[in-house]
Amino acid sequence: MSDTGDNQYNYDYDLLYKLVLIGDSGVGKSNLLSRYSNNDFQINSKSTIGVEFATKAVKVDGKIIKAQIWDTAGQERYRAITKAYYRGAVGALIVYDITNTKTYENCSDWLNILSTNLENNDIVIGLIGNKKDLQHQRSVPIEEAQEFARNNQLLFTETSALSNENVEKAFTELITTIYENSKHQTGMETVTKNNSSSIGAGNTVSLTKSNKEKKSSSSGQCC
Amino acid sequence: MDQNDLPSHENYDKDFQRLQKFLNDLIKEVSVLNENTKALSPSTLNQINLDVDRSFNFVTNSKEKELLKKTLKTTIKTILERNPQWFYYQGYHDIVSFFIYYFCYIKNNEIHYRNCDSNTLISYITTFSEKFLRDFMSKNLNNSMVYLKFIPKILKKYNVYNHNIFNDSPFYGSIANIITLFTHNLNLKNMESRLAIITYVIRSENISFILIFYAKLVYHYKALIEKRIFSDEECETDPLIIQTLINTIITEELDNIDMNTLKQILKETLKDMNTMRIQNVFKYSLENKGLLINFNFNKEKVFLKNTLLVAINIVILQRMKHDISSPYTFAGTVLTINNIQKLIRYWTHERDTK
Repeated sequence: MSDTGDNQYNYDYDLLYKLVLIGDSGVGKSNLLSRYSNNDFQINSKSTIGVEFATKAVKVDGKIIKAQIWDTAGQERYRAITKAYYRGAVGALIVYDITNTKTYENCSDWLNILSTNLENNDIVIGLIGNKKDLQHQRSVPIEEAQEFARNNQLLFTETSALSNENVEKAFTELITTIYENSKHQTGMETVTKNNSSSIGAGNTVSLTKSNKEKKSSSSGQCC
Repeated sequence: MDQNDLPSHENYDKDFQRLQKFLNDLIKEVSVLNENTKALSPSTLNQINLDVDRSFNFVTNSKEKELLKKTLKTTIKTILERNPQWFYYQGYHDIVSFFIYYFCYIKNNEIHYRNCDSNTLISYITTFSEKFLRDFMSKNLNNSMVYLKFIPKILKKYNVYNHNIFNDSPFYGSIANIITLFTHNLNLKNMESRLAIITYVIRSENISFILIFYAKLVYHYKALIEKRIFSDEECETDPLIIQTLINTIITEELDNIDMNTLKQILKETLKDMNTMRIQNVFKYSLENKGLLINFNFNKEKVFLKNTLLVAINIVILQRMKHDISSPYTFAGTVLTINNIQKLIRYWTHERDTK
């Protein structure tokens, strides 16, 4: 997978993947996105009201994939709006702050919100523990988050938007997994340039599965 | 005011004086003193802290920044504690930041107030919130959504983007600008334009002003929007993306707008607001959601047309009453019958709609 170097909004692509960034307010979603899309980090970032988006074109298996990434507001009152943007998403990153336990605990709620608002349950979800550079303030053990990701069949990465650690990896893993799955199954809402739906979802998370089913499944893509 | 740094002196210019005059008039109308305070919930406090921490990013001096943040936090907390009927929303901190920027200055590492004191500033912001922001400060986003749903209707009125993509779906992409009255992403460069916008909002005495202003900007930058979004044959068709791109364009352009052009747009917006006759639906806040949802600009036009016809009719009837052979008699009779028929049709339609 390689970056095509084109971060502008353009129409020159083979596949379009709509991705959403969700998680509590202040966990660093906007900086993760600006780091990934523009290699930029704003120490003084502003709060996101409603939604914002950025795109990045990447090459996977010789195909240009345009990732259209929606950054959503974390405050609960904006959920009425942000969930409108989940429609058609093929990937999601649930972000928490490794120094703030509450933001990690709320990840289950974010999973539920995704499951109740997606029309298509075949979506690849990643769990991101951000602010990895603040190790001395860590309050969420990595093992616990890994376990949570494993149980819920989520991809998992700890990142630092500040030091640019694992940011590329987190998005790459998500996009590649969506692409790989799309080669095996149909029904996923990736959009090709000529607007026909392409294939979807092999090892993707089925959010309608019972917890028991989820736990017994060994085909998770986590960790 | 020094445009390169924070105002560090007590002086204030003509535009600021105008804002303060409007605010002084405003606080006379509303009693905002409420000493019965209610503590804020931990989640609200947490959200305020997070947002305050991300405010005044344009201030380079860290000590000054901290002082301003501290004042911002205290101000928001005081207002919300005294008004437990209001709920904090992300973006409220932007508006309060705007007021603090204009009414405070820093001298000897202390906050001072420009031509007012801390209580007056609290009164200004509370009254402004009561008059213009209370719909956005309700428990959930329902009222704000009604505003966003109304934007496509105004765009249609301006005859811009009559594309099906807009339909009557809410213009989500505009939310940051609407609920912060364009104060989101404040910086030293755009502060003057925001002063003009907020002053006009107060002057309009009507929150619909901001919706019409938004549509007016879309209309103003139509050519640019067409070029950047709709020129390509394979142009984007997702309404959510188009809304976001339009919003990005007008926000960026507004940051670089010439002040004379902006003032002209604001002036025209005020004029348009009066001709659109939606201010009766909004008043300061959205008084009646149902009225707005059913609001139809054409309905207003029909009503105006009928009123005009009746007025002409009355004039002709007055002239015809003494002379049965007069041409006014014939014209008056035809008009009267015609108008009665029209009014019956109009009232029947109104009744059916309700």
